[in-house]
Amino acid sequence: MKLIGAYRSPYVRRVAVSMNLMGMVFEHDPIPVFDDQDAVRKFNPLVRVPTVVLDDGESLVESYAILDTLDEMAGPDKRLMPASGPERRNVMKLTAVATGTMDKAIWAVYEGRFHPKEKVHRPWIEHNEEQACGGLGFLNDCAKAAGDGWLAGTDRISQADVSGAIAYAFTNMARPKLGLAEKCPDLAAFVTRCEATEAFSSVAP
Amino acid sequence: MKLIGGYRSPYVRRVAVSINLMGIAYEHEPTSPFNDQDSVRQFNPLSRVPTLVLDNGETLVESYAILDTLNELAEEGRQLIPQCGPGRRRVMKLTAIATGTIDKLIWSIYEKRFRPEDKVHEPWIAHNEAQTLGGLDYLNDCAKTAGDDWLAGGDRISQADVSGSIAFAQTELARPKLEVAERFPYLAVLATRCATMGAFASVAPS
Repeated sequence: MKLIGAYRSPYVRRVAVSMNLMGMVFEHDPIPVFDDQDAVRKFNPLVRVPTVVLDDGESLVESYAILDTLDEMAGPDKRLMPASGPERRNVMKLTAVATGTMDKAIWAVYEGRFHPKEKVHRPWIEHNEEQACGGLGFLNDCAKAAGDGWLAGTDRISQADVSGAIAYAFTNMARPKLGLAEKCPDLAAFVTRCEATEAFSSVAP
Repeated sequence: MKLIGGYRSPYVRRVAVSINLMGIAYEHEPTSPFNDQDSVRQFNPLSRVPTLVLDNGETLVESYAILDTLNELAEEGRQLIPQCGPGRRRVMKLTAIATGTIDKLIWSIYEKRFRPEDKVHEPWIAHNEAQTLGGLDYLNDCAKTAGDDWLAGGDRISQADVSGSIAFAQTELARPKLEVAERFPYLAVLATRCATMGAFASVAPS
């Protein structure tokens, strides 16, 4: 299968890390989606990354849906989202807080990236940064409670860890002045632990 | 359970319609996170809607995760996403196209809503509208292929129909100049069919 999109995107990266953890072999095509829209549109009418093209030519879009399908393909021992019950609900919740955090961090980043300087609206950046910090604060509490374990209290790594770590790493990289390492020390330590593993480090932004 | 957020938000609305179709009773609290951030924040650290508060006090956030949990809570036969296999993959894909379409629509709407007029950047609105149209066009092709069946095929409504018709309806409402009814006639028929159902009509955007 082929993963389209650069690892700078936290959504692309959470899919890449997940595939690594699931032991799936994939080809990576880091098409810059804003510069080469037609190349992405062929596989995804929304012209968005990540897009995953399966070996039979079928394409998967939007990271939450891609990961849902990959989990089923990976099977019970390798899936990153528990199949059902309270454990699924909990991992899903932490994952949702993580992707919501990414959404808000992206809004803050795009304000500067896709507006000419004179049209950048600073209050809007701050509004989104505040929401991103709210999500990271929640995940930091989870990391504190988890100690040496995993964020959602699972007995092995889950999607909550993958997405939670990437939400932090992306926001910290894109918004260094937020001082996240000081604001969220437990999450920061957790992320350092994740980033040291091959599944994460081999797909660094 | 309690659903927080106004039906003007397509994400809130797709949760509301889904709960209706599942036959689950709920209380509705149309708090706007933009006007009253603190009251949403006590339930959701992201201050975002929809937020769903379950009867045991547990809160669910982000519509895709809320719908995943509700699907598991729904009675047998009332789920909107098949449990596994190709049927699930198909419904997830069409639903993902629909939510991606909604995301882009929201980007184009917010560009005018949350900044002074002299800071509105028209090319950014156009960029997001083009992506919205790309998603609706794909769903229109699906609706054409489906004929009298539901969007993902078959005779039972699924999350693809809920989210796909809401993506269309919301774009039509917020962006009349895109003339989506003329561009996407098959999807328009599906959206009309949905809009007349009690599950949709009772939670119309106000």
